[in-house]
This record gives sequence, C-alpha cells and structure tokens, in this order.
Amino acid sequence: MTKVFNPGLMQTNRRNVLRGSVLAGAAAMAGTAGHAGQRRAPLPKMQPPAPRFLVAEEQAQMAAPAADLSGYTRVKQELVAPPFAPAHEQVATGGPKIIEITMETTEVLMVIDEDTGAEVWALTYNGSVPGPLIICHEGDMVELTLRNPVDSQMEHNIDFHASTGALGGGGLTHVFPGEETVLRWKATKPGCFTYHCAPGGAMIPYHVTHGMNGAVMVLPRDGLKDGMGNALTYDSIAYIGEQDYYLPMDEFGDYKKYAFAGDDYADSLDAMRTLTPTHCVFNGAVGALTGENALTAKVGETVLMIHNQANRDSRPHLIGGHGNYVWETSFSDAPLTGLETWFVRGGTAMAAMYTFEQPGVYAYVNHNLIEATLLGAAAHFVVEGEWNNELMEQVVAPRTFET
Amino acid sequence: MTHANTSPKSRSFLMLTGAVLTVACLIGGAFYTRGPDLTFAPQMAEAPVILADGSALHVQKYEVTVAEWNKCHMAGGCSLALRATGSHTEAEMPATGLSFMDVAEYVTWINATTRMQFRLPTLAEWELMAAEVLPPAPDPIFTGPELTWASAYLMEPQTKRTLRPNGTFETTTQGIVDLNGSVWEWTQDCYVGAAEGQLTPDRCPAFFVGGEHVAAMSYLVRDPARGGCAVGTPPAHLGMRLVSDQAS
Repeated sequence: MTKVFNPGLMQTNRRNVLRGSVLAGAAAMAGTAGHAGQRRAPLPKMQPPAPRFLVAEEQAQMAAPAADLSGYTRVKQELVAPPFAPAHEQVATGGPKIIEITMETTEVLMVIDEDTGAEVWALTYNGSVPGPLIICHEGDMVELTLRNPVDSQMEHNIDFHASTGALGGGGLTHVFPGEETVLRWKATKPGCFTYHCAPGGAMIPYHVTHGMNGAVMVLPRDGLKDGMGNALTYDSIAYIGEQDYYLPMDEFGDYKKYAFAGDDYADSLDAMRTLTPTHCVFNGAVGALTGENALTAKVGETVLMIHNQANRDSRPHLIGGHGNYVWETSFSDAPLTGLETWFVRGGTAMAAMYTFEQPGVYAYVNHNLIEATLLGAAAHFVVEGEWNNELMEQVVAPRTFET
Repeated sequence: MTHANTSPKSRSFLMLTGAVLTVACLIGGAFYTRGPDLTFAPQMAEAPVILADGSALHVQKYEVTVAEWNKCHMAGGCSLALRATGSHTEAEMPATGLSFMDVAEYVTWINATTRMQFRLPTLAEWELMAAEVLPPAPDPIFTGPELTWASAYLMEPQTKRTLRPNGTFETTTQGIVDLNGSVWEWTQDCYVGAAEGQLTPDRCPAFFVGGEHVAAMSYLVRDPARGGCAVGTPPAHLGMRLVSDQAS
C-alpha cells in the first residue's frame, strides 16, 4: 500500500473549513485555481448552522449527575495497525478499567490496486483501512481522544456501535482540522462492534466508503465460552476489515485521480448511488493480506478472525477450513458451530474461531466469488505443520485414462 | 473444453493457434494480395540468444506496444483495440490485457503482413533469455510431497505490479528489455500436466506465461485477477514478445 500524506492546506481553522460539499462549490466560485500554494481562497466569515442537537446533548450532560469513576483503574491501550490486535487479556483480571486510546483522523492517498493504479484519498483512523482494533471487556470504559490533524481537509467524528447514546458518540465528537475531543463510553454489551465516521447526511457513507471504519471487541470479563460454558481461547487474532470502494471513472473507464481529499466528493456520490462497488478489499487494498503480507499460523493454533464491514453484507469463507465457533451478533449468545460460511450483517463486526488442522495455504474470502476474485476480497493464511492423511490424501495423482 | 473441436468458435481457435506455430497459410489470405510491408516489422534486440543446441533465437527488444498492437487492430487482424492509460503514449506502453487468443491473432497478422516468421517463445527459450535479470527463485515454503499444491506460494516481495512504460526494467546482455517487469509474456508451451501427448496446442486449456515467476494461465484470460482459490500470486499483466528463428 503506497501512502502519500495530504499535501493540502497546513493552516486551517473552523471558519474556513466547512463540510466538503459546501466548500467545493464555494472554492470553485471564488476561483482559487490560479492561487499557487494555497488551495482555498479565504471565505467570507460564515457562522456554521446552529448545532441545536449538540447544544441539547451538552446541556443534558451538564444537568445529569457525574459518573462515579472511583472503582475504575486507568490503563492505556497502544493501538496497532491491522491485521494485528493490541496487547490484551482474554480473561479480565482486576476490576473494571478506563481504557485510554488516541486516534487521529488522517486523510491519506492510498493505492488500492497496484495493477490498475487505482487510488483513493482514504479517510482513516490512524492512517489505516480499517481503523485499529480496540479491545476491552464488558463493564470497562473506553476513553478516546480523537484528534483531527491541522492539515486535514474535512471534519470527522466517530460513531461506536458498542456505545450507548448521542448517536454512538457521533453527536459529541465532531472535530474540525486542528481540534481534538475526548469521549468516554461504557462497554455494556459484549461482542464485536463496528465504529465509523458519521459527519451527517451523504457525508456518512462518503466517509465510510473511503475507509473510515473499524472494530471494537468487547470481551466478556471471563472470556469467550462455547454453548456449554466451556472457556474458549485463541492464540492469535486476524483482524480483517472489508472495504467496499466506489471509485469514479473517466469516460475511458480509468479511475480518476484527485489532488486533495474531498475533491472526489461529487463524483463519488454518483458512483456510490450505483450501489455497485468498484473494489471490495480486505485491509484497504487488493493483496493487502496475500503474498508477502499473508497471515501466518501453525497447525494446532487457534485464530480468532474478526471481520468488520461497516456498510454492506458479506459472507466470509475459509477455503479448506471452517468456522468452529462463530459469533455473528454478540458474545451474549452461544456461538454457532461448525460453519462453512458465515454472515456479516452490513454495519457489524463479528468473530469466527478456527483451529488449523492441516498445513498449507488457506484462502479467506468473501464467498461472493465475484467479489473475492474480481473485486479483491481475498486474504491468505499460510500454515505450517504436519499433514494429516486421515483428513485428506491424494489417492491418485492426475493421470490419463483409457477412453 | 468438451466438444471444443466441433463448435465454430473452437474451429477458428484451432486455426489461429495452428498459425502461431507454423506460418500463416489459411486465414488472413487477404494479406497476400500485397507485398510484404516491413514497416510493421518489430525492433529486435541487438544480439540473438544462443540456445543450448547452438542455434540463434532472435528476440523482440521490447514487448509489443499498444501502438504496434493497434496497427494490427486497424488492419483488421486483431479484434481487440487497446489504449494507453494515463499520460503515457501508445508507443511507450506495452500491450496488455491480452489472452492467448488475442496474441495468436497478432502473430498471424504480423507474419502475414511482413511475410516473416515470428512466433512466441517456448517456456525454455523464455527462461533462458530472462535468466540473467530474474531474481533467484525463492525456496519453496513447503517441501513435503503432500504439499506440492501449496509449495509455489510466494511470500517474498514481488516486483511492483504497476504497469510501466517500456524500458523501465532491466536489459539483458543481448539487449532484451523488461523481461523482469510487471508484464508476463505468453509462451507457446501448453501446460499439459499428466496428459502429455494427449493435449495439442489447439486443445490446450492453459499455456505458460513467462515473468518474475512462471505461471500457467487459461488461454481465455486477459486480466489475471488476484485471490480466490488460486493459491499464489498471479501475474499482474499479460502481454507478448515475438521471437524468430531467422534474422530479420
């Protein structure tokens, strides 16, 4: 994945940064094209529309009694880039925690398919698609510092499906370039949950289909269990974010390129309206989890595959393996067992657990095979270990036969 | 491929691939009403490749370009029309998105037009000419006999898959350019598996393509997409390079 950081305006403030769609039109009218070094002409001073909802939320919050945080221990969680998971306990020790995390809303030019050179100004949390995996336990609180870098073009926020109230926190986390905000929410429901940017209106799917989504895993305090209540543990996590992109094309069918994040807004809306993605990839780009980036494991190891799809249904299948335990919805319900293919409801994250029994290469695909092969939704596991002839054996190698 | 030799489409395939391997003789007869037009003859590498038996193989310096391909299309010899993408000219970009069927059309046309005898290289010829610019083959990731199906999986970093103008990659001692680039080149060798002797070029489901790693490719494929059940990293782009046993 090639990344180029946004070379846009370094100095911005709330007055000259409006939502992308408004800005694009205003900038065009102001005739900024000829201004070298500065992308946008100064706009007349404008008050943003009165944020009535936000005001109401803030007032309600001030009127409510303060939360009692006395029983909680503060810890920091260092977030890591996908497909990896942050250091965490599977079974919680000690009392509930306030888990402090920081995410930056960076706008990054990413090549999403080297073969065609297709690229997108990805809108990200911490520079990756998907955003980093956050892990906590039921009863913990997550305290997020959300920071929008000064060189961003756009406003960002975050809606945690795992949280309760204020549009999942979206109503309280709007940050303009150069701003930060802190949101604390309590994890009351165990399961895997998506999070995504939701700045309002058509900007919501625009941000989500530009990569601005990720997953939170809220583990039960005593860890994962099968339907009989027996503990289930894993050796590693493979965190897979499935991303549908809708890239605008020119009249020849070539993917268009844009100088700045947000420049593709109008074209993107037309492309999104088709509901037909041009790409459907794992972890941001075609091939991001294959070849030299393939996932690895050993026979006997158990992997928890966390699949996030913030926008669209999907149906993962591990070619050559199974889903031994699958939590499609929450960790409150007993897992499904022995699945061939499992379902990811659009707008959810879910988890599937598998213990590898054979060495070799496994393909983890969206089993809409058109999306897997033509749109890019494929990852590979390379597994070391001893072959089991009882499970499978080539009895006769291909040979000619008499006709 | 069942009943392949009875359908009209397959018959034309048979004629086209037959023509690849010999000299155009049946189809493209219209070309013979003119004298040979050597302006279409490709630029060959400065020196021939000397094969194991001591014979000389003359090799096209660059892969067939979009401009060269479109001359075939304009003349009616190639059904596919190509376009250079981005800011590049047709003359500097290799012709890609070509199936074996497409490539066969081009060989037939260029031979009829120039009255020369070009063909695709064999896999052995391709590997010989490219040996000095190819990276060493990585050790197989699996060595057990029951894992041969997965042993060719590549976890080494590969050449960037982006399509580049010709001349971007390395040049061999003989002056052959871009053999280690992001375009895989069709060879005339059929991937026969165990059915050696039963498959003929006109009934071949897959041919070898030469590139950073050798691959077998269905004759119908123009764009080898990644992923899915195909274990390993498929080629990025499919193109072609002519060879000839005769000096031009």
